[in-house]
Amino acid sequence: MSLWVDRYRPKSLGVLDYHKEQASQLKNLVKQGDFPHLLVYGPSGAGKKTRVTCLLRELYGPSVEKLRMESVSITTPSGKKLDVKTISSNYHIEVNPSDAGIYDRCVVMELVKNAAQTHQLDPSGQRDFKVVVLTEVDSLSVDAQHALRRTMEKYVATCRLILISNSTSRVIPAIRSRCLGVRVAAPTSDQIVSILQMVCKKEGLTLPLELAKKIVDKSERNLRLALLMCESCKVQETPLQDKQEPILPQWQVFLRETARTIMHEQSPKQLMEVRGRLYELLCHNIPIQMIFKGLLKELVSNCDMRLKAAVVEEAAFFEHRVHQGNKGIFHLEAFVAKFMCIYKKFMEDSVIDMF
Amino acid sequence: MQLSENWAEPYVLDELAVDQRKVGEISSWLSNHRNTCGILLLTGPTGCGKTAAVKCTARSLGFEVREWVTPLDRNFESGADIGFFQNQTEKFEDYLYSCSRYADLFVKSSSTSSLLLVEDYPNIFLLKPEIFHDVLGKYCRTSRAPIVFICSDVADHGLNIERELFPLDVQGSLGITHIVLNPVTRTRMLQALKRMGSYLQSMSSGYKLPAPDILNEICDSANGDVRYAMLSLQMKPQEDVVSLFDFAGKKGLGKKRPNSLKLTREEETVSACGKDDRVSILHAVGRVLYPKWYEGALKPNSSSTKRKRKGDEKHLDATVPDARWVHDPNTIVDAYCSTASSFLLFIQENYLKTFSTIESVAAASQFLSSADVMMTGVGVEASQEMSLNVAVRGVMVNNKVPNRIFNQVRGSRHWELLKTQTELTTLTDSLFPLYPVSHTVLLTDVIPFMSHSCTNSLSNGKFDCS
Repeated sequence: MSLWVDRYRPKSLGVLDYHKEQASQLKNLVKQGDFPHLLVYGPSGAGKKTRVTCLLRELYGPSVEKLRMESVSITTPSGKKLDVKTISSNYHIEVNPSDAGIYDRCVVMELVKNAAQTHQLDPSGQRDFKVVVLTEVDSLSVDAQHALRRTMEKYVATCRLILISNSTSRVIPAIRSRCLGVRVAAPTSDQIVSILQMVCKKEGLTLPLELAKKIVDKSERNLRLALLMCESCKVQETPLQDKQEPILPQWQVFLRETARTIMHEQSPKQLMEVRGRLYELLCHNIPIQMIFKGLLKELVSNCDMRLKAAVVEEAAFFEHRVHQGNKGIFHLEAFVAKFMCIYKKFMEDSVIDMF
Repeated sequence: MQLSENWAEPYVLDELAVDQRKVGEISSWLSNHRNTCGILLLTGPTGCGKTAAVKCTARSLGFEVREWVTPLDRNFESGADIGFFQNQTEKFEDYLYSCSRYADLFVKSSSTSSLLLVEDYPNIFLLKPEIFHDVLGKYCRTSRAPIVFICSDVADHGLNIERELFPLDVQGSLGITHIVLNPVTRTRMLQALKRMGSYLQSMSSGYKLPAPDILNEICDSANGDVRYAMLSLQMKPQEDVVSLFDFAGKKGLGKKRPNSLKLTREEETVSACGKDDRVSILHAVGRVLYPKWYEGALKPNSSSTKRKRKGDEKHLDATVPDARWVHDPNTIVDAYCSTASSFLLFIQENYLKTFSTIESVAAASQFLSSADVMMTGVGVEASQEMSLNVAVRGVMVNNKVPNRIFNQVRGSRHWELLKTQTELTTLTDSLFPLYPVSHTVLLTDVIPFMSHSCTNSLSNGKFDCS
């Protein structure tokens, strides 16, 4: 068995459900034979990866789907040995450079070089280049991006890069200008509703419109999340009901409770408890940016209008620091302390105003 | 003035600075093991009189002490090999065997019982403790004389000989008696210093016994280390030459303030004694978390009410111009700038409990956050030191009224966190090979729903993703 997300993932450019015009443009791109480096960007759950897989299939045919996992060992200049997990077929190799942490620069260079140096044995009917897919380019260090810039030009004859990122803001301009940008926007609510209904139909279920709307609302136009929620609704209760509440992931519920703890009392002791909860979240590999975002959203929604600007400013300040420093908990805790401070002052002032 | 080599070593039991009860334990053990096999392990901090205690009691009981000295393998003076080579283990075994059976030819002694003393361990044993345990086992079977092993306590676990060579199971199986000596107490140290002082006086008439307060200071700075106290007593310049060496005093002249007189005095004496007064990391963390201020920094208006409280619980204000910390943050930073990152983690883990208001926490945590950013500063010379300075001062300044309750200093969860994170990543890697999304998405989106949708497939191990 597999999840609906995986089972109903479109496999070729022709059957994509939305942004059809873009799909046909990509198809044309492949037809013309030559192919630039691509930078695919868009929010999480918009279908970037699906689109790239379809593109690869269009390029190389169905054999590109025969994947294998390999662990490539790379020696850094300082002599440290690294094992990096890659997923590859005969025609492409995919790697998440953020796995290598601070050594992403060597990993990227080494992999591109390896892929570029092996020529295609049988050029008849096949492309004369391989594709290197780099995911999560936003977390690629600036160092690595600069290294990539040079490598991209040098091996352009035998190797094309497809970079996948959530936003272009963290990609340096030099890379941006070397790639064809492909923006995959999140599907609209109506598109998600129709996809959900189509999937449910194939599963032999009927999805009430009310529930579908609720799911779209909660998933924030993240198609992956919407499908997962829909499936969990099915597990919860079949046939699907109008009144059903789609469930949120456990960690989001936990984060919401954490926000409530912060609002409840503002003292060093309470901060200690909040710290414990933050550690708990971090232990489950929830990225710190998502914690910041979720926490801020919850806190701001309970704040007075006058406080919102100040709180958001603090959050932005400390979130930036997370990227500069390397121990996220320091900054997360500083933000919570700052918020508690602001909030407490506001509450005290408003109590005074009452009299 | 000519002093004999071991002029300060106590000769009779009464002169020992070690606790009488412990001496009693040692001597009773020795008399129980005359001419039989037995292993005694003696541990304690450096300079607490371990060797002296053994030698003294052995002398009083009529034992002949035969000490192992790890020999050099080569004759370095002539530069030539000494013919044949015998490894250290064999030499050590030889020593154990022969010394426990045969009396020394070169010592005329009426007593026949000998006592083996090992303070110097051949390197091979430190590398491979198993060999040492074998040798000990053999010794237990063959020997006819007691042996004493002496180990100094070391704070660093990596250097702790005792833990390596005498693990608890070995101690149990070989019947090793373990006696732990404590640092020398103040009164005993003073007695010992006086004894040595009078000895020095008898040797040269020009020597003046230092004033009692100087003796007290030596005791303070020695931290229970008798050997160190003895050295500083000997090195203590005489009153009339003090002015020549007293750099600390000169430095203090320019900025001497009436309220800090006591401090300059303290600084002088400590620097004159020259003891490395580096404190343990936990101690230093404590100094940062519970900052202490001098009286002069008292808030003028609140001083009358606050003085009723205990001495160290005063409300202090850093804005008062004369405010001074008892423990200079510079000293703390200097001592720990080589391990700045772990010190920072310690502070961060523990600072919350000592703060009483959320406002001060917010201020301090912002400094800690800055410190973390600075810690990773690339290409900036001394960024570690700066970062630690920011953290230490940020916490100390903002903690106006520390909560003076006992809190155990805890290690940071940072490393633990990293470990769990990597473990989780490898786990997801092995559970979902070839899954087309990244770890973060997998963990934040897919798995939480998967636990709802298909619990059974997760528990079955491999998840089919095709």
